[in-house]
Amino acid sequence: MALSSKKPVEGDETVHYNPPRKQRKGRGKANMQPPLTPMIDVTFQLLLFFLLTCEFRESEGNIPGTLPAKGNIVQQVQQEPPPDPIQIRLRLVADRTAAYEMTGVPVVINSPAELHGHLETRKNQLGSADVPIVIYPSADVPWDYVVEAFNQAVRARFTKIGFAEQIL
Amino acid sequence: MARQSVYHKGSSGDVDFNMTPMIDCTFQLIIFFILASQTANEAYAKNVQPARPDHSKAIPVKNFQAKNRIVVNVVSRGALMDAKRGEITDLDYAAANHYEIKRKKYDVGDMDPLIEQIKNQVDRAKAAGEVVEGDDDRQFFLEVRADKRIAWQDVAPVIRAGVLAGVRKMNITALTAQQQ
Repeated sequence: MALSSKKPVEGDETVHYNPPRKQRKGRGKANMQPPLTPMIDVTFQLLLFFLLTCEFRESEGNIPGTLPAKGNIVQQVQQEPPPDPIQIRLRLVADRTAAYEMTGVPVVINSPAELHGHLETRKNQLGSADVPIVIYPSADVPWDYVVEAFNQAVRARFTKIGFAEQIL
Repeated sequence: MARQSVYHKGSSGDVDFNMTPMIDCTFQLIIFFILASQTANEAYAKNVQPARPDHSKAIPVKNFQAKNRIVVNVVSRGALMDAKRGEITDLDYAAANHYEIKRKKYDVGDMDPLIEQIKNQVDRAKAAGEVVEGDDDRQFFLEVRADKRIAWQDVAPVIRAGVLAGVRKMNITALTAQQQ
């Protein structure tokens, strides 16, 4: 035991060899650690700030459109639209949901996918996407459904899409 | 082999915590929040839930943001009501409480101040030479950012106000298509 131990044992006069590498190691050991406390304080302040103020919002975008020229609005509202445009009428059915009616389609359209299908079919029949589409929402239809109709028309690559208000 | 520990025992017998993993974690969290959080934008009112259409064709704002634009928020009455104070009906959500442009509120019934505000901005952009008639790249945009639950009758006046103020371009704000 005494042979392997580095502790000085009384009466033991064995000279232990210490290599220069080991002698250097212990001698000039300077504690150079910078003070971390202020940095940790600030870091936690930042973390707390971000935790409290962070707001995860869903990604928003824009569906581009064009408005009629100034002065046309009265004419736009008072005149009956020409017979050519595809008219999409929106009306409220039960429980704050809306249904779509499209000229030339005898059935009520209940889903955006169906509306898109009908618009694609009509575009292929006409052979052009330049036919105007007029969206007529009734007053109480939620904006959600109006945007949906506009989006499906854009999705079907129609280029002239407008809104109209129904005159009572 | 020495046992892994969160603290070190120095030669003097002091026990000090190993801060390095904690600081690493903290910095990772800070970087995450910096990247993931969105800074508040005064143009966008808080209580508005835009629609997310099926296969949305909305172009993300980072890809398409008009320089000259006015964002008109249509805020639902139901969204502002305190749910604890009473039952909120669908009719509350369907009615617009006010229109909002850069945190300034406009009454739903009185459209003249709203038209005036839009017109002022258009005129300012025109005077600065930033809007040129006939140039599609230099146009003034009206952004309609309405709550999806609001009835069409309360959103239509905003579009009409844009036309009366002489705006030729309109963007409808919607949520972009969800990543599949």
